[in-house]
Parts: sequence; structure tokens; C-alpha cells
Amino acid sequence: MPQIKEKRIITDKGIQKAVLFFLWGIFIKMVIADRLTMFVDTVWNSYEQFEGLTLFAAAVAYSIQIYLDFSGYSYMAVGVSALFGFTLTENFRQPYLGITIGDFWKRWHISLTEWFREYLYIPLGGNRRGSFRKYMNMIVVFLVSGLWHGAEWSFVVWGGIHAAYHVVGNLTEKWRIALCGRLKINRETFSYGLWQRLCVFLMAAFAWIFFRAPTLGDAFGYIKGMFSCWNPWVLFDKSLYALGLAKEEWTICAWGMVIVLITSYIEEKGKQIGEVFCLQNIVFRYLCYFALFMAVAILGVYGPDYDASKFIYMGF
Amino acid sequence: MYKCILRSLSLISLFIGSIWLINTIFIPKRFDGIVPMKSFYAQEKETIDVLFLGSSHCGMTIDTGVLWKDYGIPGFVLWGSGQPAWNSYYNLREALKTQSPKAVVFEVYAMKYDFEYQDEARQSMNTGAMKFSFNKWEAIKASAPRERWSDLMLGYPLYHTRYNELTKEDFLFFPNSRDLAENKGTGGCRWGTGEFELPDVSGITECKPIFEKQELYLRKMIELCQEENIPIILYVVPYCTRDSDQPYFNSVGKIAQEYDVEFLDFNLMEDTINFTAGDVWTDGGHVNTTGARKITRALGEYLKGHYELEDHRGQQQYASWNDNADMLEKEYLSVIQSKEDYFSEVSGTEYICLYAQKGDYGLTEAERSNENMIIVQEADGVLDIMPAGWKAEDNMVDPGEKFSVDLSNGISIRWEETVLLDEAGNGAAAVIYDPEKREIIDIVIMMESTNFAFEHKNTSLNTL
Repeated sequence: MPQIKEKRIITDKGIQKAVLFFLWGIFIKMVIADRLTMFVDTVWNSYEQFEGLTLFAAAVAYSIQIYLDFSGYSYMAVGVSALFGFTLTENFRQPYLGITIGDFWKRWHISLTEWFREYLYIPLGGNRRGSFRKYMNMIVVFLVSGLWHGAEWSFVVWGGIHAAYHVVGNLTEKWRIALCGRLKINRETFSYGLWQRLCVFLMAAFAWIFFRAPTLGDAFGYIKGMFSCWNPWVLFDKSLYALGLAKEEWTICAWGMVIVLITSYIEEKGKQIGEVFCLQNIVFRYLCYFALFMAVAILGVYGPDYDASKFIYMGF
Repeated sequence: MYKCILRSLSLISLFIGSIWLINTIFIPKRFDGIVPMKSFYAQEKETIDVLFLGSSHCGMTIDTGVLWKDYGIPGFVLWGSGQPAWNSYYNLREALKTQSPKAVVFEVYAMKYDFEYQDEARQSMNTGAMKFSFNKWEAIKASAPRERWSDLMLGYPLYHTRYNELTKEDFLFFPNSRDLAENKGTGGCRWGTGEFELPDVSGITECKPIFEKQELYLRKMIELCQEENIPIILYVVPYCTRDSDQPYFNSVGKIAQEYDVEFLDFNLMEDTINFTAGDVWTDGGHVNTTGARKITRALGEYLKGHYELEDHRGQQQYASWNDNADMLEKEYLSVIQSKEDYFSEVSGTEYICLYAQKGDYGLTEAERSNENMIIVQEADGVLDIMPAGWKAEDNMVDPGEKFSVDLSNGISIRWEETVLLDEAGNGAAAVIYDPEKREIIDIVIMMESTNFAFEHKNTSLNTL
């Protein structure tokens, strides 16, 4: 808030970053997230008709969709603010590259997590009153976080699941380290890191089912359907192409996600994309603007026929 | 600060340029609304003498090739599918920015419409190709409800999803391209008819009130033309279900009288122009090319007889009308599906027809007597056909260009080194050649294997 009173200086570099962030935000929101929405909504709107891996695929797609949707408009907000000389705090830091659920929450919706830590977790005593109180405080924070997202039991369960991940993860940490030692698993390797990230992603994806479900009953019905049969052929027999996204649309999503993955990897390595971008020659920068703008204008999901996704997090 | 402003302006220019590029490539290249307007912009300023406006009944009736070749009138047809009067009015305003036509001819089929807005697709087709301007904004406001104004103005939100159906044509559709300049708006050629009857409407004298919005814009068009001292002629084209609509056209006649403008109701003039049910196309609602030519000629006669229209034939500035006439002729040949109609049409052109036949299948005596028919038969064996043998003018075709016909094993025709046709069995084949432009216009075959059915072959040499 003090920034409002401060004298703001709009710099050339600020404009460069602002335009980049704004276009990047629209790109990941409109080209990838909104496209995935068409598949996710098709499955979720009549999930009783689907089973097995189709429901599993929609759950995974929703995990990607909600991240790109939310981070997309966070980037847009950062870009617009920068145009007026304001600097917003980082709200996402590659959450699905987190290696534990705790790590995930340090990277996801950082502003909200910080707020809960400062105004709920610490006033409740934080981790200063013994392990039992620490875990109880965690559970309270996650349940309240669930309620903050909506007055539905499904949100409370979503928070509860994350609390359970957290508590069980903390309680079993030493045991898991010891098990790795006995099995001679090197925890410093790339493959182990990949395994950890895959586990975190799948755990988050499972919890998102409760977040996406209209009611608790729907969530349980969806999960039951996921495990009701083994039908891996749906990933190969093109039946997914008939669920709101044709082959070309899936291809666009796939390429978009590859680009997001590359930029996430660069950021994870400690380089700020915005800073790296500003160091490039003007021709390259303008080509990037042009490419992003064209990608959004051509491949973006919008226009009179478009009525699928609003900004998911707008409701929260 | 200066640098910031400069950078901001550069970025805005980049984004506006990108939108222009997307709109140019992605706009559907529909012949029934988009192409006529885009082609209009490609015309040289102050060259159009007669501007035709209206719906498909205008676009599919006015043959600018006939108007040019028979009367030397450079006409342009600015039409759109199901075009209401408000779109015709704003098209007229757009046209008057760059052209000073000696006459405006408005087709009034739309006067039977009783809706506030045309359907969404036609809203887009009738406004989408207009240049970004205040006039376009006004046209959109008249054409669609408020919630569609921004999409229609920007254009690309409506058709950006065409990325998976783009073709070569979409990338060659740039302003002032030669193809667009050669196009004078005529909505293609049609051959064939159906089992139709044209109801007699001469006894219908009832007048039905025209929908208020249509009438408003009809009056606006007339008044605009009168303000600009441009004569305006109203007309309506015959079609099969006209009896229920004639009362509206009678009302148009009264409005025409009120303003002292001419109304040519061709529904009541069939005997004068020799129009019959055979001149109605297979859909019953539009005329075929023979019908289109009859009405075009009637309008041509009227225009020549009533206004001082200069004959521009032979003038370099108007060369594109010549190309347009050739293009339409070529297109008409390509849609004819009957041997008799085809060779009858060929005989009325300057093209040369190389006709090769093997077996008993042949031409009628009348067809044989066509001057521009070169006939090769089996007894001739392998034959090179040199230009000198085709026409009296020896220098008409480059001596290097020759056809080689071999009928020893089926029908084989070569042009220079390119195999045009290699068909086995008895039958006949005809190659239509334009000696002036030195290009193959069309190839047709009638082979025993398909029971001598009349078929067109692709004339693109690369694909043969």
C-alpha cells in the first residue's frame, strides 16, 4: 500500500517487462488454460458417463488448467501494475516443481499463504508450542483456507486433504529418509527429484477433484469412477479427441505446455525471465511481443462462440 | 520520457499491424459478401460507371463480362448474400468515397424481408470486408444488436478459429492484388435448371407495406443518389416463388413513382426479354447464367439508351474488365455439364477447340460446322497440330507451341512436352485453347468407360 503514496517512475525497462508479463499472462490463460477447460468441463459436466483413465486425464488436465488460469491473470495483473509503476509481489513460483506438499504451498498462491501464516498460523502459536499444537494449527489453517474458497464441504475436505498431506508428510519424513538409506536410494539425483515432483503433482491433482466438484457427493462419485475400471486404451484410441478438444487443439495445448515448462525450468534455475528478456536486442524483444500477440489473437479461446471458462479464481 | 512515448507508439503500431495481418489472412474469402467488397477496394479510382447493389439476386444476375463485352460498360456488383437495404445503403456510401458512378442500379429483393437484423453469419459477410471507418461503424450499428458491435468491428474475434482450415488462397488475398482487381463482383456462373414454373404475377396489383427499416434505407439510398445527382434504377429479378412477394414489389413501384425513379420489374417483363423457366437455376431462387445474361443485356440496353455512358472498350485503364470477361467466360465453360450447351458456348467465343475422337462417338453436323473446331480422328494417326493449321493468322501462336494427338491407343494429347490427356478406350476429348493468352481454358472428355458421360478435367497443367 505504501507504493500508492510513493512517487512512481515508469522506466523503459518497466514497460518492456510489463508488456511481456501481460502478453505472457494472456497467452497461458487464453491459449492453454481456456482450451483445457473445454476438455475438463466436457468430462466434469457428465462425469457419470466416463470412467477410469478418462476421469484421471480430466483430473490431471484440471490441475494444469487451474494453475495456468490463476497464474495467467496474476501475470496480467503484474504487467498492468508495472505499466503504472507499481511492483506486485510474486504470487506463483513453479508450484508443481515443489518436492513436498510444504514446498508446493510455498510456491502456490504465495500472497494468500503468507496472509494465513501471518494472521492465523502465527497467532495460533505457530510451531512454538510443541509438535501436537503445530499440527493442529496446520490443520486449522488448511480447513479455514478451504472455507475461504467457498462455503461448501468439498472445499473444507480439499483443505483437510492438504492438511493431512502436510501432517503425514512431516510425521513420516524421518522414516522415509531412513527407508531411502536402507534401499540405497540416492536422494540427490535428478530421477529422485522427478519422482518427488510427480508425487506432489498427483497428490495435488487428487485434492483438486474436491475443489472442482460441485458437491462432496460428486467428488466421491468422480473418484469412484476413476478407479472403477482399467481402460488405458482411451489414451490411444483417439476417444479423448471427442471430448471437447480435437487433435489440433490437443497439439496446441501440448506445445503451449512445453513452452511453459521451459520457462519454468529457467526460472527454477534462478534466472528471472523478465530480466533476461530485457537484456535481449530490440528486434528479438519485438519478435517475442509479435509472436505472443499473434498466438493469443489466433489461438486464444475467445469470441462469440466462446462461453466456457471465466477466470476460475475470480470467484474466490 | 521521449523514449517511453516512442516505445509505446511502436508497440501500439505493432499490435495494430498484427490485427490487420490476422484479419487479412483469416477473413473467410466468401464470394457472397467479402470478396465483392475487397475487390471493390482494389478497383482504380473513378473507373466504375455503373454500380450494382443488392442481394444474391443482384450478385448472381449481373454478368459484368457481358456488360463489358457487349456494351463497353465498366460495371461493378457490390452485393452480399441476403443483403438488407441498410447494408446496400452503407455500401453505396463506401463506394462513393472513391467512385463517381454514372448510374446506380439497386436490386430490391430485400424489400420482402421483415426482420430487424439479418442472421449472424450474414451480418458478418455484409460488413466484414469494409475498411475500418466511421461508415463501417454505422453499418454495423444498423446491422446487428449492440452486443455484436465490437466483434463485428474488430472482425477477427469472429473468425480467428479458422487456423486449421487456412488455404493458399487465404495467404494471397492482399489488398490491390491482381485477382481482386480483375474481380468485378459477379457471383460466379451457374448452369442447369429444374422442373419449374414461373407463376404469372401480372394480375397481382395488391400492395403490401414494406418493413419499416427496409423502406427507410431504400428511401435513404434514393435520396443519397439524388443529392449526388446520380440516377438510380430499381429492379427485381424473376424467381419461382415470386407470387407471394409481388405485393412488396408493387409497393416498391409506388415509392419509385414518388421519387420519379425507374423501377424495372422483370417479373412483368419476361416476354420483352425472352425470359423463361429454363433461365432459373436449379435452386429455383436464382437465375442461371443464360438467365443472368438476358437480364444483364436488358439492363445494358436500358442504361445505354437512357444515359450517356462512354464505351471504354480498348482503353488501357479498363483492361481489367477485359480480363474479368475472359475469367467469367472460362468459369462458365467449366460448369456446363452438357455436350450440346458446351460446344454451343464454345462456338460463340474466340477460343479454338481441338476435338479428338476414337471410335464411333462423334459430333453432330451442327457442331462439326463450327469454325473454331479442329477435329482429329483415328484415321489421322499421330498428328502434330501446328498453330498455322488452326487459324488463318499464322503468328497467333508461338511455333513452339503445338499439340500432338495420338489415337493409336486410346486418346493421348500432348501440349509441348506436357501430357494433357491419356485416356484408354473409345470416346472423345476436347481441349479448349485461348490463342490470345496462349493458355488451355478447359478440357472435357466423353469416354466409353463412363458411358460417354460429359466430364471436365482439371486444367491445371501441373496436376495432369
